[in-house]
Amino acid sequence: MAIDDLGRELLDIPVEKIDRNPENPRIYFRSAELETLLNSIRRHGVQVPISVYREHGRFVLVDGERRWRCSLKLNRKTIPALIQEKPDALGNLLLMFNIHALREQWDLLTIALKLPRVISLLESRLTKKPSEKDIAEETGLPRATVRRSRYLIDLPDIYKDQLRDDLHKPKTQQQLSEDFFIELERSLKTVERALPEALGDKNQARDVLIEKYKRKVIPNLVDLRLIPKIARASKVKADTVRAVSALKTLFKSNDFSPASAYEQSVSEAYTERDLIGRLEAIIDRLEEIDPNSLEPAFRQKLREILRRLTKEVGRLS
Amino acid sequence: MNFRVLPSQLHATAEVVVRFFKEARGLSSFKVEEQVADSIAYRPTLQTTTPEYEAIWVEVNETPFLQSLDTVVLHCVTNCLPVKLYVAFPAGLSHTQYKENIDESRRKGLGALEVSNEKVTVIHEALLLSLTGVRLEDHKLFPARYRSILTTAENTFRNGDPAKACSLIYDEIEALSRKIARKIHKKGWWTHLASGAPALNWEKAPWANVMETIIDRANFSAFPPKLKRPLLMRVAALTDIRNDAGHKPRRTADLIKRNQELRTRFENAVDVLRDFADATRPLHI
Repeated sequence: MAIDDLGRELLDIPVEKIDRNPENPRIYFRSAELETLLNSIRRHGVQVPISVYREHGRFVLVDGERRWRCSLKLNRKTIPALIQEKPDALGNLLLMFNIHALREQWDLLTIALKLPRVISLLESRLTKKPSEKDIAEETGLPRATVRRSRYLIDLPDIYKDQLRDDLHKPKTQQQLSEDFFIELERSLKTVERALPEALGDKNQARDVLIEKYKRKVIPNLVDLRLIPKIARASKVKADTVRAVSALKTLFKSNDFSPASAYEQSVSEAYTERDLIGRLEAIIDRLEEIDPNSLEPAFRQKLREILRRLTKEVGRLS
Repeated sequence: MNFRVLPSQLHATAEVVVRFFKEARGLSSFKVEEQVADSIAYRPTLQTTTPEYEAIWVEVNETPFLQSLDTVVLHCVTNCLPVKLYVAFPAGLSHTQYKENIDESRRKGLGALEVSNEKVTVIHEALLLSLTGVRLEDHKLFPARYRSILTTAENTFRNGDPAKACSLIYDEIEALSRKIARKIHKKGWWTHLASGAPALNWEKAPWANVMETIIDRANFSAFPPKLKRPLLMRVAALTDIRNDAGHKPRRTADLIKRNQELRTRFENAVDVLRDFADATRPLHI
């Protein structure tokens, strides 16, 4: 019997005596990935041992579920495994997060569905609500992933189910994605905070936007980012009554798109802010230049641009 | 059903397929991801057996074909295993991927079941893998008039009726034998003519008797060079098994044995037809 430097035994154990870890957050295994691994195992065997712990005369997987599944499919009798001590519930979960943080990443929904349990177990251990940084450090996930997962965690179950149903479909048939729901939630959160009177029933708004996305009234995810811009109308000194009206129409079942709502409410204000911002940035830049260092041709060019600018400003004012 | 290997997104597809086989084919008692035999490095997603002792294996997958099934097909063909292997997949593949996969699946003799909205569409049926391994002859080696019947016989064999396929070839050999007998009789190519020419009804006499008479009494020196006694003995040997399709199998092992025998008989009959037709070509019959 071999022992590794962490004191784990290395044994060939019966494939049939292994159970999947109920805490494994991973729910989606793509056939193509399994097929590649299957062919490799058929040719070369299982080259990297799986990790398991003993429980009730059987073994529970810690790492290597795909290798185990392929070995079963190939009707192999045994598989090399490192036998380790049974971890506690939090240790078990964190182990799996960390293993995958270093390798291939899970789907975001997979993480989001398991993260509340991690947070709850961490809360018991730390005796305080874990911060985003705590969660990232313990799980090995990037902070951005934890933040994005939280949008999915906060989704009502009915939408989590919709997303799960879509992820179950072949890639070509999937209409909704984790990215769609993250953009959707970000947008609605901003509306809720900045212009709550425009929102009404949040689930109804979600339903309408999902339906518009499926019908391609919302042609891409980026268009959802126009919604928070409308909600922040007051920041660009745009007419908030018009913004509320545009958002209310957007949250009704019709062919009114975020691009149309943006155009009708705040587009002009954002254009103005953008122009002013650019011009001010140019002035700041010019102020930094030493007048003695300028070439005559450049001075001439500047005067020409100023003349054209004055003419255009005169036309607009 | 308790799946351990099948990805969760395909569980619903597998359930629909099981219902389909029960309702449309009367097949139930599907085993899930169980070993077929120690010697086979493969566990189908679903498996059951028909009352005719044919194994039905179903692989549930995201596409209609997987490269890893090549090894399984080869094993079944080589060992003459009476297996029909289907791949069930959810609808919605892109056209290119779909066509490539379907073509490959058909070539390998696999069945393709497309599952959409609780409904199964049979894209094409699975062939019995024990029969798909039959050796296919180059049709150009046969006179043109036999090529069509040869194609029919091969398809009949691969599509699951090996006894009928053998019979189709035997019919051709028998017809050719009777034509030769008539020709010999007409030309008087007999020996011991002093005791008279053989008096047999060349159309209705048993085929075995026709062959026996030719072998015993024909004057081989008058024959074309390739039409020799050993070849006629090979033809005569077929008359013993002409109507013997074998007993109805009572278990899988019997079915394997019967299919192996029929495969050998079919390949042998095709060889005899090729050599016999070639040898008698100069007789213009």
